[in-house]
Amino acid sequence: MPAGVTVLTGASNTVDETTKSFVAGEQGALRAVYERYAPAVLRVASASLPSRADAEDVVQTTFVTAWRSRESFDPAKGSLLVWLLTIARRRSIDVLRSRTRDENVVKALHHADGGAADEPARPDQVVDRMVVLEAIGELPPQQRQVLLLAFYDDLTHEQIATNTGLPLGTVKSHLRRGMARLRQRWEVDGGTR
Amino acid sequence: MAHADPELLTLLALGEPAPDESTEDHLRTCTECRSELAALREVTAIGRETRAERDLPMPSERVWAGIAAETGQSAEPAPVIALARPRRRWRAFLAVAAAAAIVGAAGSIAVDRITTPVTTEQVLAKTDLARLTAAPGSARGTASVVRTADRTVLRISVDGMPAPDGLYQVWLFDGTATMIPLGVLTNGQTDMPIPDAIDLRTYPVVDVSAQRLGQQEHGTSMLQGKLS
Repeated sequence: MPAGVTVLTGASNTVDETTKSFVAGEQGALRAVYERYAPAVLRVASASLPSRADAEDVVQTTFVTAWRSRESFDPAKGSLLVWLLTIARRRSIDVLRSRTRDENVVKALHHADGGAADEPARPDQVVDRMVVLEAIGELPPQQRQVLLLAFYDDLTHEQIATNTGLPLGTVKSHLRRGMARLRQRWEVDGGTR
Repeated sequence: MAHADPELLTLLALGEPAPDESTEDHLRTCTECRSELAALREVTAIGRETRAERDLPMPSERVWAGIAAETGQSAEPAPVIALARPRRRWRAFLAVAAAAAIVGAAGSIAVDRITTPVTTEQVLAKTDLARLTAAPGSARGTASVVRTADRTVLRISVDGMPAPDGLYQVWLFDGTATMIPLGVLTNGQTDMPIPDAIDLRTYPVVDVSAQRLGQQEHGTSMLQGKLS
């Protein structure tokens, strides 16, 4: 049991401890990975499956599959998050295919795709968002804060400087570095799909 | 002409105007800078979209139970231990929600605590408290600023939180650096007086943290929301 707890303390730049302990099959690691990524996996499954029950079934299958085939996960090829999301997308497509034999569900899907007022995001867009969201979460706090003021509040770098009290040069450098980091993560993890 | 400065390209990608015509001229002719800018714009677009994804729900309990049964794991979610152990990465993933809530100290709340005539109770501002990643899926809460006959209080109520190892503390947060402790949260609904000296336009974020007994500094955020 202590093994499961201690592995959670580290967070390195490359492959973090939770991922390592997951691949090694350590006790507690699956739960830790589930807690970290289940919301993202559910989000991606829900992007293709209109039924919450179907999407939750995909979450379950995804984590079971991932655990059983954990030795095939190669951190050099992409992050654990994207590996899980890729499994989830494949499983969702399988479920969709089995459902399309059913006329009603075809209609339901058509409806889910159709131009509703706020158009639902495509699954691959959702994957991109999850990758970038995780990368944002891993930025140094001040860099993250500055970037989110630009993204979410649409502030200019001058307004950010005023709001945070940081020098203009620091704000600009945070924006550049933060953005470069997100881009790197997005390009690396985008390449695995 | 030399290539555009990377900081400048970042600002352009974020939608800020070009500072001068020579930059625009350069971008018209330089494919390298243009494709650089296009990539940064794409990252910006995705970054902005993440706003809608900050508070993703956990699947229902039956999902983990199913996974545990199929893989021979313990089905116990151990929520109490979760409070004490560091979970930086998983927090970081969705704690973006918290970081986002901190913005806009520029004052979207038009709260006039002095001149508003009061007959009974009046809600001046309120917010739902979003679950941060250290909190279990069931956790939720609301906070409102209520003016009563003789004082202004933060009325806070939470639900679905695990028994703390230590205690839960409520804070007002300016979104950048300063957190003001308001009081200790017990079950259900609690009223905490807000000192007159505190301007809620400066401290619009309500934060509920798990604290170890005797811990002076801010502990682990569990719930957060921005008053409006």
